[in-house]
Amino acid sequence: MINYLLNHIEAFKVALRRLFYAKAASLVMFLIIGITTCLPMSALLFLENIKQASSQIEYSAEISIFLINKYKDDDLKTFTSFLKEQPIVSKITFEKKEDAWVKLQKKIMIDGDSLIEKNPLPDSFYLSLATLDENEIDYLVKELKEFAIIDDVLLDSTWVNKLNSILSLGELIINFLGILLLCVLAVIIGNTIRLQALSFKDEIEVSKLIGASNAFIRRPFLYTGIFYGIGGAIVAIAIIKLMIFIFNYYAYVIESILGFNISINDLLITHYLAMIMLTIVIGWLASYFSTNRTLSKVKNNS
Amino acid sequence: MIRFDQVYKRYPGYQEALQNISLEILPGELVFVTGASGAGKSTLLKVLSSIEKPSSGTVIFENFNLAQAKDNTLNRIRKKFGMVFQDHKLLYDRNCYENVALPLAVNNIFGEEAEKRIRAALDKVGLLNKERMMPITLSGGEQQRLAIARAIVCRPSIIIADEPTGNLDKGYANDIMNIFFSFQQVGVTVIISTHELPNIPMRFKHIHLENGQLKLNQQPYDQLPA
Repeated sequence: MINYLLNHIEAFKVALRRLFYAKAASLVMFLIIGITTCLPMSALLFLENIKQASSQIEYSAEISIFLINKYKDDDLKTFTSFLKEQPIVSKITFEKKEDAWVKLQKKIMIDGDSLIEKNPLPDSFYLSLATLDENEIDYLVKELKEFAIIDDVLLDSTWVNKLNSILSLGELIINFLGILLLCVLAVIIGNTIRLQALSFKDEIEVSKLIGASNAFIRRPFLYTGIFYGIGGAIVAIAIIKLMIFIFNYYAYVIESILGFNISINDLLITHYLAMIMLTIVIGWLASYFSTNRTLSKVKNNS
Repeated sequence: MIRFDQVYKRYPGYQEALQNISLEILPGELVFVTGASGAGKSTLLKVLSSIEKPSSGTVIFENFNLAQAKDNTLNRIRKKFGMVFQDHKLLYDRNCYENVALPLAVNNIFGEEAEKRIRAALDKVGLLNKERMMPITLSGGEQQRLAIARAIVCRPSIIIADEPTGNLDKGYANDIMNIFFSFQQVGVTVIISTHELPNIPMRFKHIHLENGQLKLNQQPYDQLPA
């Protein structure tokens, strides 16, 4: 067990030495990984901020309920008490058709004459809701429609649905972009490790000749892949932090003119940790497969 | 003991590199394998050291048939060989000490034991005072001596040297040969290939190849029938 650990320490040291041996190439690699990782992370930053902003908007969904022309007072009382029992209903407004008619006439009166002679409006309820949960609202609408005195129910939540759809689409695009860029990362790291492994072909050959197992030969390359992942993640974090700093610096000036907050919030620590883990795993996997490829090449050529 | 029995080696698209080779190498022997370029010397050493598997025939080493051994077994067997190459195959990003340390790491030997063995191997080839130097700063002869130190550091029972003096001038070549002779004197089997045809002393076994065929299998004089 101790020897196994010592073997890992040795591989770790070899990988570090290789990084320092090719300082410029390592730095370029960190930058490439960092910038590539930074792209989906910036999109995530943008989306997270929009999500936060939209959650802070004070908005309540409203339902308009139109009653049939003729109904019994008892039915109205039953319906009103049903509405009062609903926990998601925060405000109930009842408007008699006569009042609504007066309001409508004021709006459509031209030169003191009404264009409509008979009142076409029904008695109606207007409900303010304490939730934006689509399922809860849909369930209430369904229940309302079961009352005999109800003629029609209209739900005013279109723009919330639109925003939610846009955010979902944004998330989908980020996921797609993220996967695409992770593939690019894997190819870049894999290719670099493959080239590095080829440049250490002699070492691989010698190690094979003296009886080293594939795992022994692969180990330093795997550590190199991990280092690339960590280095790239650090560059990506630095770029994102810098981006936020610069944006917020100018946003502070603009806010005083606009009168509202436009500065962006940083990503959560879990986002950063997930990104580091992901780049490490990609570095490791890419190194694993590219070293295996080189090992099989060396075996075939020896 | 190593035994070749009717060994053939064919590379796809090429002529047979080895044809019907049957021979034995006893423990502690020093064997010269000679032949012109392309005669099959390197292939013979590769088959012997299990880098290549024969196309047919058997190669027996310590009761294992190398032709049929699995990769893990071959890795274990290779650890018993010390390999020296004409082009040294040193690691130029590591110093002398670290180059010699590589086989020990493969064998999971670290710490004081490793240090002791590395120093002893470097001392044996006269490079102890250059242990922190990078191989690129050494002369050709010194680089080959470093390769020998790496080959012997795990105390192999067999040393295989493929044209170890091919790139060296006569003075360095003699130095290297003397090092090999000294190993044989302490019981190590040494197998050396060379394309030159030196005056090989009668006390050493001599195998000569031509076009992949065994043309001479000369026993050392002390093993010749009376």
